[in-house]
Parts: sequence; structure tokens; C-alpha cells
Amino acid sequence: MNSLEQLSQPNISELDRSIFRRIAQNYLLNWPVGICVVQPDGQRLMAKNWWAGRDSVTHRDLLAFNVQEGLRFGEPTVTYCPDKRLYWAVPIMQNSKVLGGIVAGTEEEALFPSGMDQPPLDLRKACCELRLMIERENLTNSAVLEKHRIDTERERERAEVLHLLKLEDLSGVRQLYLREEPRLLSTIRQGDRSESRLIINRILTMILHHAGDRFELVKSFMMELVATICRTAVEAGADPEEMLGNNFQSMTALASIRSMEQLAPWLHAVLERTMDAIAAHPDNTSSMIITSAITFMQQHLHEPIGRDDVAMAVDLSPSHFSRLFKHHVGQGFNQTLVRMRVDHAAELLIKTRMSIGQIAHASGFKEQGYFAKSFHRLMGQSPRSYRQHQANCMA
Amino acid sequence: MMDLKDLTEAIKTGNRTQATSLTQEALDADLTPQSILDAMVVGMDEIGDKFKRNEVFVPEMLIAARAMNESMAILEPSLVKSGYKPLATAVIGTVQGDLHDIGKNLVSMMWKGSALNVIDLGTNVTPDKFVAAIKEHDAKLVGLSALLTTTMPSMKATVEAIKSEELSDVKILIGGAPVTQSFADQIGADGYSPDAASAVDSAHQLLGIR
Ligand code: B12
Repeated sequence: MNSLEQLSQPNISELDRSIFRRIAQNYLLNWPVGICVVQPDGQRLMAKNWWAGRDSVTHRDLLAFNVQEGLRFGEPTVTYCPDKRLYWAVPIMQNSKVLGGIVAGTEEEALFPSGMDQPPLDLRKACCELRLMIERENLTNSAVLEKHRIDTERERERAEVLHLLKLEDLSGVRQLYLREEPRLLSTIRQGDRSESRLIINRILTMILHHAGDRFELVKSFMMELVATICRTAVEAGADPEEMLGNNFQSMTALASIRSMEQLAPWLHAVLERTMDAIAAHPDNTSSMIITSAITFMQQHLHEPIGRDDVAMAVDLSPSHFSRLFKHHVGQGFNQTLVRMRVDHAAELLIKTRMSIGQIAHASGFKEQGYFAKSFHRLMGQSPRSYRQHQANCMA
Repeated sequence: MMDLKDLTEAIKTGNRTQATSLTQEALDADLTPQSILDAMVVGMDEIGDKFKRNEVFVPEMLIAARAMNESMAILEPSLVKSGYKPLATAVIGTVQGDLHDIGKNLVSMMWKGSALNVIDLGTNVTPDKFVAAIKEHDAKLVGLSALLTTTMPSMKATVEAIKSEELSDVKILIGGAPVTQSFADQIGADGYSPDAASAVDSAHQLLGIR
């Protein structure tokens, strides 16, 4: 607990000097900066290694602005001041009230300690460390900051989609949506949360961008999307009853949504619940993927497919696919594929009058020699004698 | 023939002295201001990509931006035709909560070069300040810039503030990387331009010049 929390009317001037001293000391060990505590209006209270002299009004405004920015983005963000200094700050908070902030600053020259063409001071790290220190001292509202960081990241992704959309002239939101939907469903099936989130953001942005302020249109899209997500989740192994409940809950929540701003958090909550429901049955998901991989292999046996083609067909990275395959099937991909080809060839040998060469080809063997060798290894005899033998048995 | 790649590089690395002297050289070598500008924007775009990939952080963007702004200042006189009587006054600024000013500065420069008297309010400009400036300078055109998706609502608020004042036929033109025509329609702005060059055409169109 920090000393501020015991006060009924919290005020930053009551901040324990010893806490500030501890933060300052630790921070200055790592970074060539000055550090101070400011009130919400930017007025300096305590400082260490700070520049001499009084701050002008604009300077105070700037420090105050910095604290606001630190709150807004959930992470200190560097701003440049005409006096050739760089500042970054973390708000000091009690619940949602901002009592002031801790600001760090450095001279522009200090930015490149070993010359302009060398990498500059890692201010990203400096920003993050300052926040963590202040969070450890329990002087800020970590939950609020974290939420703002997530929002910032989401907005950044949204901005990128917008930039892309502006470059690409695509007409019709439906078309766009249909392009993204299969990708979303496959990342959901694979339980890939972060990729799913990204795609959801893309879809949201597109829909909002194109639907403009026709909110009902947006809602109808959302209903469709949630229904598809639920169906996919059940296919991927989630408990149908649980998903039905989820679906109902989501739709009820959607009904009370009145603005675009509420949509994104809502849709993300839907996604998280769905992913949780799938994650509760992890084996179902992956065995389903492997089943569809094997179906794909069967359908393409006559073609020269390889591991990478199949991995791509089920939307997995080749290495991840290999691991999953081995885990579920019990033997490696190549081994299994040859086995399937040989089984197929054996069937053709019995059921058709095709020549050995034709059968090798129809089973996906590019070379007859390799076909003969593989067949012999797995079946214990050559294709020709296998055909003979089976015919004799039938007779 | 000088290579504008060096200028792009100088902007990217935020090397101000080099960027400004290369800009001067390019001008002296009779390269068009537009081609010089384009080389700078490429540098800015590249730093933007690096930021996206977490390869650089804000300070690098800041110094690149400063190199760009200083080099642009050198270009300005050759873009801004002197001796013209301005046809109208325009107010321009980056909306509240947003500190990005390069795009806005470019538009401002182009406008000055097309016989407009431009009042630049800078960055992080509140709706009130826009309204006050329009009144004070009897502006017929306002340019709003936003580079963050999160400041697009400020843009909307600014448009609303201007419209609610019923200022005699002032036109609002908006722009910035996340801004689109459909957003302009949505918030009731009079126009949108994707870049500085078309911002001139749009301005003239809105003002009924030519
Ligand atoms: C340089 C830069 C900065 C510099 C700006 C310095 C300065 N003096 O401007 C600094 C370091 C300050 C900065 C800070 C931040 N930035 Co920044 N920044 C950029 C960057 C790399 C380039 C912008 C730029 O100048 N482009 C060059 C100019 C020429 O292009 P332009 O601005 O688009 O302008 C053209 C058109 O849009 C149009 N136009 C622009 N304005 C207007 C106005 C009118 C009226 C008209 C008609 C046309 C028009 O014409 C212009 C010329 O053709 C962009 C990435 C990008 N590619 O956009 C990120 C970017 C905009 N920044 C981003 C972020 C996240 C931030 C920070 C939050 C980072 C942080 N964690 O601190 C802060 C926010 C600070 C704040 N409160 O505003 C994100 C935005 C994401 C989002 N949510 O929208 C971007 C997209 C980067 C990214 N991919 O993540 N940034």
C-alpha cells in the first residue's frame, strides 16, 4: 500500500519523499535523466537531477500534457520540447483519479551517447521501466494503464488497415468480409488467439469503414459473424450446449449496444469466450485438423503433393503441422503418405486392369522404380506378384 | 545530376544538417520542388514502416520529423509565389490530441503557393481555437488534419463546433492518413483530400476559384 491510499482527500503533495527518492535513485542508476513529481497542472513538487531554474507556464503545460499522454496510451510516450529536451511520464493515480505524475526527461544530446550514426538510447525500454517501477510502488492504476495499452495497440492495427484500404480500392464490404471470413475461422479452429484478434480488428474496421453510420447494417453483420464463429467453434470441438449459451448471451448483449465504440470490446469478448470454449477440448481441435489433412491427402494422392502443401491446406505452419501429425497419427508425414499411396496402388492392382506404370502414376509415384521399391518394402512382394497372388486367392 | 536518395536517407536518419544542405543543393540543381518533397516523404514513410515493425521508437521519428520540417522550410520560398494578392484566407491545424504536423505543414505550404493566405494554428488545436481563428481572420476555408485514429473524433467535434456557429459559408476540408472520403461524409465535412497536391485543387473547388 502506498501512503496516498490512507488519505481521505488524496493529494500528491503528500507523496512520501522516501518513495520518490527510492524510485529516482533506482531509475537514475540505469538512465541519464532527470526525474520529478508534478501536480496535474504540471507544477513541480520534488525533483532529482532536474534542470535548475523555474519552469515557465508553457513548460508546466508541457509536463502536464506528458502525464496525460502517459495515461492516454497506457505507456509513457516521448514528447519533444523546444528547449531540446525529451520528456516521458507516468500518471500517479488513485482509482481513476489522476493525482499528478512522475516525469523523466533528458537532453537531446544524451540521446545519442556514441554519435548520430549509432543506435540511440533505448527510450522504449526507459519508458517501460519507469512505468513498471511506479506500478511496483503501487502509485498508479495498472489495470487502467493496461487497458489503454491494449486499446492503443488495437487502434494501431486499425490505422494500418485503414492505410491499406486507402491504397487498395475494393468495392463492396461483403466481398471484403468474405475474403477475411475463412481466415478467421481457420485461426479460431487452430486456437490462435492473437491472429484471430487481428483478423477481427480488420473485419470490424472494414465493416465500420464501409457501413458508415448505418448502425443497424453493422449489427446485422455482427449477428452473422457471431453465428458463424459459434458454428466453427462447435466443429472445432467446443461443447455445443455451452456455445448455444454463449451465443444467446452475445446476442442479448449486442441488442443493448448503441454505439460503434462499444462494438469492438463486445466482439473481442465474444472471441475470447469462444476461444476458451474450444481450448477446453484441445485434442478435438487438433485431431480434427489432422482428419481434414488426411482427407486432403486422400483426395490428392495422384498429385505430387508434399508436407508443405498439406500444411498449407489446413492453415498450419509446416513444422507445427509435422509435430501435430506425428502426435496424432503415430508416424511421420512422409511415411504415412507413402503408405497411403501404396495402399491406393494395391487397391488399383486388384480392382482394375491398369498397367503397373499407370497405377504408379495414379498413386502419385513419379518414378516406377521408387514405386516398386516402396511397394515391396511395405507389402513384402512386388506389385506384379501381389496382383497375381490376389487374383489367385479370389479364384 | 544529384541523387535524391541521399536526401531520403538523411531524413530517415534524422540528419538535419545534411538534409537541409541536400535540399538546398537539389534546389540549386533545378530539381522540381515536388520531386524533392517526394524524396523526403519516402524517407518518412520508411521510418513509419520501421516504427510499425518495432525497429525504431518515438525519438527516431521525432528527429526524422524535425529534419523533414526544416528541409521543407527551405523549399517553401520556391513553392510560395510572392507578389500575389491572396484570393482568400484559410485556417489550418492538427486537431486536439494530435501532435503530427508534417502532413499539415505540407498542405499549408501548397496552399500558400496557390494564392491563399494561410493561418497555421499548429498542432493539438481545440475546436474553440479553430472557431476563434475563423472568426478573427474571416477565413473561408478550414483545413483539419488528424493522423491518429483516436483523434478522428476530435475532428468530428471540430466540424460540429464550426457548423454550430453558422459562420458565413466557411468550407471544411479534412485530411490525414486514417481519414477517408466516407469519414468526411459521415462527419459532414465539405471535402477530403488524400494528399497535399490534391488539397490545392479541392481548396480551389470549394472556394469557387477558377
Ligand atoms: C512522424 C510520426 C510521428 C512523429 C510526428 C512528428 C511531427 N512533427 O509530425 C511523432 C514522433 C511525434 C509521433 C508520435 C506518435 N505517433 Co506517430 N507517426 C509518424 C509517422 C511515422 C509519419 C507521419 C508523417 O509525417 N507522414 C508524412 C506526411 C507527409 O504524410 P501525412 O501526414 O499522411 O500527410 C499527407 C496526407 O495525409 C494529407 N494530409 C495530412 N493532413 C492533411 C490536412 C488536410 C486539410 C488535407 C486536405 C490533407 C492532409 O496530405 C499530406 C501530404 O500528402 C506515422 C506513420 C505513417 N505512415 O503515417 C506514425 C503514426 C501516425 N503514429 C502513430 C502513433 C501510434 C504515434 C504515437 C501514439 C506513438 C507513441 N507511442 O508515442 C505518438 C502520438 C503522439 C500524439 N499525441 O499525436 C501511428 C498511429 C496509429 C493510430 N492509432 O492511428 C502511426 C500510423 C504509426 C504506426 N503504424 O503505428 N509520430
